[in-house]
Order: sequence, then structure tokens, then C-alpha cells
Amino acid sequence: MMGMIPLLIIVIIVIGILVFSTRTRNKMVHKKGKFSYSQRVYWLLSGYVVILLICLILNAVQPVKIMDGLKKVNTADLERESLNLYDAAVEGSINQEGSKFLRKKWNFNYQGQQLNLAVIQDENIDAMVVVEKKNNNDGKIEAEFYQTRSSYNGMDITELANLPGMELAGDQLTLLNPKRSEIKFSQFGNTFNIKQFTGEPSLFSEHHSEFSGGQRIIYLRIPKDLELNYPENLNLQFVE
Amino acid sequence: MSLTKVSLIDIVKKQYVYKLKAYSQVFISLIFIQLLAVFFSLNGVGGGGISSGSIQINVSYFSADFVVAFTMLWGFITAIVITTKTYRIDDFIFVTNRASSNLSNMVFLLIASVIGGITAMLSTNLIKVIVYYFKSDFALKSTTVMDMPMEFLIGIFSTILYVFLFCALGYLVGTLVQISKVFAVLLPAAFLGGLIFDGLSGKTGVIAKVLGFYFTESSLALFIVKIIMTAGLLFIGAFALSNRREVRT
Repeated sequence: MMGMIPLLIIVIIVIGILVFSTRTRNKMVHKKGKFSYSQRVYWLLSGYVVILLICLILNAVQPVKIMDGLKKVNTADLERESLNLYDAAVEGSINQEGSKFLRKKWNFNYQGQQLNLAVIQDENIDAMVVVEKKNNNDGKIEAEFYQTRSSYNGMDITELANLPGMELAGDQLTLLNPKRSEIKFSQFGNTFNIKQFTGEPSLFSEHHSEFSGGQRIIYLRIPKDLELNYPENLNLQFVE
Repeated sequence: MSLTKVSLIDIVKKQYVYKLKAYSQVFISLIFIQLLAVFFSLNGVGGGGISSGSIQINVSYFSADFVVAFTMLWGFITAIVITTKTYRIDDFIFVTNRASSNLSNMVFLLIASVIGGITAMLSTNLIKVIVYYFKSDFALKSTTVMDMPMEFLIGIFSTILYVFLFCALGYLVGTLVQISKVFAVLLPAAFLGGLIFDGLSGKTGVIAKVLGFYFTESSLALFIVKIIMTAGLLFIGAFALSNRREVRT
């Protein structure tokens, strides 16, 4: 019942407008101008219809750009990709098998004996960290970010996500979460009087959506003897 | 006594043409109401969101439901308005009787329903254009008239019928109110009372059943029959009642 109240208010406003607009009729109807009042009304009505028709044409021509803006993907493929990348990462073969998912690369020169891996306080890094120890001590830290494709309702949204960052200061390497990206989708449905005959479910009941986040891996290659300290809550794994 | 004989159809035609001019302001309110409904629709009729890691996805659902509903309301009120005294007296400009007056009103309401129905369905495009260009990043599953011409036609046709049904209802209500002002209080009270009673009892009451009779009909043919029969009965009721009125009240 409470949900009805705003609706009722709207209905009352509408009725008020309708009644008010018809009350003014008698004053308006005898106005003489170049065109009579009724002629002006029909001009206005025609103008309104023309605007609606222009919108119809704009929609028929233009939305191609909007709808084809995102590639279609198969969710099953994404699952497989994601698992394969994980396997490749923990086996240390990510630079061969995962090369097409490489999104970003960092190189740091580092001569210290210890490295503290850190995240900004109270944040969880939205990726898994995999560390590979190199065979030698070349004084270089190589970091790579891999990400498999992610999708929403079968559309590829990988490119819309921002990339994480990394900063080396002193003996601390800080992992930075990507800037939050917000994507607005709009979905149009038929009006109730069409759905009634086509048997489509109502927009209110149909909220079927599917999201696949994709695998995100930060891969670090560090010198053989570098000692790595990291916070406990970090999802970190060493290459076997 | 007059030497010229005029047929009923001639008079109806004349009165109807006159009414299209004299009642033209109802179309101003139509445009206004539909634009208001479009404005309300821009908030979306529903929405949802998913957030994962650093991605936040918001989905808004849009449809022209408001426009169709408001247009039905417009039809209802327009029909009431043209039964009021100021409008009724207009008919006496012509040679008239109750039958020609009622028939020309009905034809006028039919034309008004057609205009209302077509513009209501077209307004979906106005909502789409505004949302596409100003509000959202991406649009999901959307069809244009080119993809689904049949759905568009069904939409126009069923909206016209719905608006006409509400016109017929409004016309009967208006006629009743003209007979006795008691109905102006009684009818809304009965309707609201029915709604509240249904709401309190928690069962599908009479009003819900009556609405369901039209709004859940999934066969277009049956729907057409139902609407035309009901609208016909409502108009016949109104015609019969208006014949009981005094001469030129």
C-alpha cells in the first residue's frame, strides 16, 4: 500500500493539469490571430509527431554504434581462459602461454636484500600475486599484470576496466588497486501492452544478468636471493 | 417545420468536424502529459547493479509504460470533460439531438484515442534517444521498429484500444455525473474503497479481477473482442442514460 502513494500523487498532479488545461479553454478559443487557436494546436501536434518521428529515425540509424560497441563473448571460453592462465602462472610458464593476456609491465632496478610488498591500508588487492624467483641475482624486479577477458551478459568488458598500479619507494613495493570504473548500461523493454501478447516476462521480474570477472594476476620476477615480506592477507603464491 | 431533411450521418459528420476544432485543446494536454510521462520514464522503471573488484556495473531498465498509462488516464479525463455542460451546449449550434451529439462525441474520442495511441508508442523513441545520447554508456538488447515492425504495430493498436476503453469508461462516468452530482463523490469513493478493501483483505478483489480480464489477455483476437464489446456496452449505457436527461439542461 505504501508504494502506491507516490503513484497516487503523480496521478493527482496529472488530473490537476488536465482539468486546469481544459478550464482555460473558453478564454483561449476565441483568440484571433493569423491562425485560429485550433489551427495552432494542430500545428503544435504535428510538430510533436515530427519530433517523435525524427527520434524513430535516429534510433533506427544510430544505435548500431552503441550496440556493437562491445564484442560478444562466450562465457565458457572465458572460464577456460581463466583456469589456463592460473595454471600457467603457478607453473611459471605464464610468459609463453599467457602472453596475449599481458596488459601492463613494470621494471624496477633494486639492489637491496629485502623487499616489503605492501598494499594501501585496509585495501584488498583485486588480483592474485604470483612470485617467481629467478636463477640469478641481476638486481632487477620485473612485474607484469595479466588479465583474462571479463564479460557482462555475454559482452566483452575487459577494455573498460582500469589497470592496477605499482610504486617502488625505498625497500617497499606498493601495489595499487585500479581506479574504480563504473559502467552504465541501459536496457529497453517493450511496454506492458506489447508484452501481454508476446509473452515476455515483465521488466520488474526479469533481472537475469551474468557477470564473469576474469582472472587477474600480478606476476613478479625477483632476484634469486631477495627476501620478500608481504602482508598475510595478500593472496600470494610462489611458482612451484 | 423545415423543408430540408437532414440525415443523422450528415449531422454527426458536421458536429464531429466542429468538435475536432473546438476541442482541440485536449491535444495540448496530451502532449503535455506524454512529455511529463517521458520525463518520469527517464529515471528508469527498474535497475540493478553488480560490483566486482574494481568494476561497478549499473543497469537501468527503461520502457514507455508510464506514457501508455498516462495516455489512458488522459483518455479517461478527456471523455469526462467533453460531457460537461460547457461542451455539451456547443452541440446546440447545430441541428442536434442526443443521438447525433453522442455519436459525434464517440467518433471524436475514437480519433483522439488513435492520436494518443500512436504518439504514446512513438514516444518510446524519444526516451531512447535521450537515454542513448545523454545517460548511458552502452545499451543492451534493444529492438528498433525495423527489427520488430509487428510488435510496434501491436503496440500502437493495443494502446489505441486501451485508450478508447478508458474514453468509454470516462464517457459513462461523465454522463452519470451530469445526471446527478452524487456520482462525482460516489464513484471515486467506490473505486478507492474497493482498492483499499482489496489491499487490506490481501486477496485478488473485484477491481484486480476486472483489470486482469483485460491486462492479462494474451490473445490479440480475444483482447480486441473484449475491448470492443466493453467499450460498446459502456457507450450504449451512456447513450441510454443521456436520453433520460431533460431537454437542454
